[in-house]
Amino acid sequence: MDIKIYDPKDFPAYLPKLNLLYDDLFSGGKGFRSKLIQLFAHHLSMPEKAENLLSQTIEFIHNASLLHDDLVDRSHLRRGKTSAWLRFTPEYAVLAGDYLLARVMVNLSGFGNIRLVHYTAEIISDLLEGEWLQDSLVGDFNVELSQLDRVHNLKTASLFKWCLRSPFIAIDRYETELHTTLEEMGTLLGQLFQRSDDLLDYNIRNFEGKAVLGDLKSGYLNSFAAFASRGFSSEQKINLRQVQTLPDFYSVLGSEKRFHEVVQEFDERNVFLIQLYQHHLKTFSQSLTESEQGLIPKLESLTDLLYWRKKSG
Amino acid sequence: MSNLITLSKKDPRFFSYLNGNFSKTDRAIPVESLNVNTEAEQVTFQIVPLNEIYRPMRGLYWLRLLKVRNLVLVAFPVFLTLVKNWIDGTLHDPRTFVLGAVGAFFLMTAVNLRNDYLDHLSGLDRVHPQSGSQAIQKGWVTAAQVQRWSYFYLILGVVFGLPALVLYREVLILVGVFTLLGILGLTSYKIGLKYRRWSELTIFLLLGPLLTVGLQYSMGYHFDLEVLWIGAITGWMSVFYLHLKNFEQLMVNEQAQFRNTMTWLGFEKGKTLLFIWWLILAGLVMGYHFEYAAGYWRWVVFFSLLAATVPFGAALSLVNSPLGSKMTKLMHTGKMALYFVMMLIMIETLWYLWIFQ
Repeated sequence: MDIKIYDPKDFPAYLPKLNLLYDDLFSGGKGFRSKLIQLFAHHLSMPEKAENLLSQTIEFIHNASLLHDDLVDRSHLRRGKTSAWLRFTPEYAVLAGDYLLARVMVNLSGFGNIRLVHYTAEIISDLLEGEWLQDSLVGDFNVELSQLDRVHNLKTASLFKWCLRSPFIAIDRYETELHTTLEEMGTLLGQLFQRSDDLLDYNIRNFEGKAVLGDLKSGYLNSFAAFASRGFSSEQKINLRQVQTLPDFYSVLGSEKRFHEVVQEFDERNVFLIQLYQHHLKTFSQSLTESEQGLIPKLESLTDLLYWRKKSG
Repeated sequence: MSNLITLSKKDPRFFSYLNGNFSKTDRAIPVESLNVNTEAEQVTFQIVPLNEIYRPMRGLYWLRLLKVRNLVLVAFPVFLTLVKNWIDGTLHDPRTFVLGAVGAFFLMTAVNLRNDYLDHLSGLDRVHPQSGSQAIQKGWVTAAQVQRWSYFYLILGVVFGLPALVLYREVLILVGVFTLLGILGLTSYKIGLKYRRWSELTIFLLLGPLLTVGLQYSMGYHFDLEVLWIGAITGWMSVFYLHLKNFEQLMVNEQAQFRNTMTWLGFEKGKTLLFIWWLILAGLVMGYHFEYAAGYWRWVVFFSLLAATVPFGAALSLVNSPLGSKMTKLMHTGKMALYFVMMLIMIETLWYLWIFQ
């Protein structure tokens, strides 16, 4: 499915640089979120037009956030390539992000479901609030995990919630209990994905070989670091600021063995979130018709993919 | 696998789980949610066997449950009113006063317990998992037990306050106002007492002038300006404490659409309010000292207030986000500044007692 063009007015040919930027940005992405939409679309027998629109919407919002995020964080790499703001200038990166969000609103409002437009606008707002709050925590080496959870619920989980809820809104299913359950499931998936992503920074389940300690070196204590450093003495906090390599981090914690114990404790804590997700999934299944039940096993394995990073999931 | 159950509010079992009387061997602990929707139609409970719940020593969890720290906000005005009248020789009816003061403690405890119970019923303790006594959230006690104890302390409060009510008509009027405010604050559990803007005025009156003036009447003495001034100081302190808490919870309160002065003002203006509130408190304390205190204490208090204002002002100016450690530090500094001023005034009062003996 080509999600770049939903409406003929998307990405006009007279803006070659914008097209180039888009193609460059999207080429390395896995499109996980749009695949999730397509999964729902398939099991809910959603019309193809709606499926295309939702897939485009989620990818456009996600990539707009990446364009802005990379600039805010001054990240040099995105998906293994030079970031858009470095390759095309910061101004173009901002404009491209804005363009993507504008197309989302144009295409969604053309679809005619005002609840979907309203919910999407809310999610974009949450995303930006989360980005804003996260930036205010850079350099804070005493931030608590519960505080980061609130940021991640806005910044990361909002898109997962949208992936789960918007297909039902698009087909005019608005039951409150269904949406409350999906909201909780989206929150949990977002938290698990974020925490797993934060573990990559410490080379845990880093099968794709992402650069390590990027967050810490740029002064950002991510969820795993906040968990690992709870109860640190002020001397340990000072040492934490100076960490440059993983062995440095091990030594701040005490030893490499201690590091792996902390990872295990962190995993155990997140296993409860996985159990909670599976529980909500059961509640969710009660809202589905028999023909829609095929969605459940697919959603069941999502935590394997998002938290444990198992490819087969 | 944890035993989890999600119940809709329409489910007949819902309130028995929420109240905790669904089982004698298990506790149903509502799972925290980051989605601050207290109107949600369903709640997920984690069912935990009683023997798996970690409980601190009985004394410790009672201290937590009864929010002994908050009782300082009653103890302080009681102490000041008592010493003022002791020194002035106007403690005509010590027995009624003691009973009234004990009654005030019981009533405050009843209000605290009732507030915890209502926060639990309305879902506020899932939105603010770190606030309140956390005794229900941690499964130490059931919500139904907390409700029963709140009634028990309410009855004790009324019983202990009865002599003052019978003997002094003025106290009856004040208690009438007190009861009205309490009923308005706590009858509806849609939203807790502390999340409403008008409740700031209620708290000011209940822990300030109403309490000190009422206590003075209960000792058989009439109204005077000094006791009103003491009440203004203690009430202002209590609301300062409330503003601090509301500032810390600004983000969640705003997301959940709970309205109080802090959410109305927003982050930056909220900071300004906290500082102005503190300065007015300092002004009230200084004003009281210039009117009623010994000369040297004026200067001790002045420099002490200055010393407390500097770190609080610095912490306030540094905080730039509703989340993060700077906010945690501000809360700590603010509370310490408040306790410092309370401690100072108590030492000063004890000093007067010693001098006048």
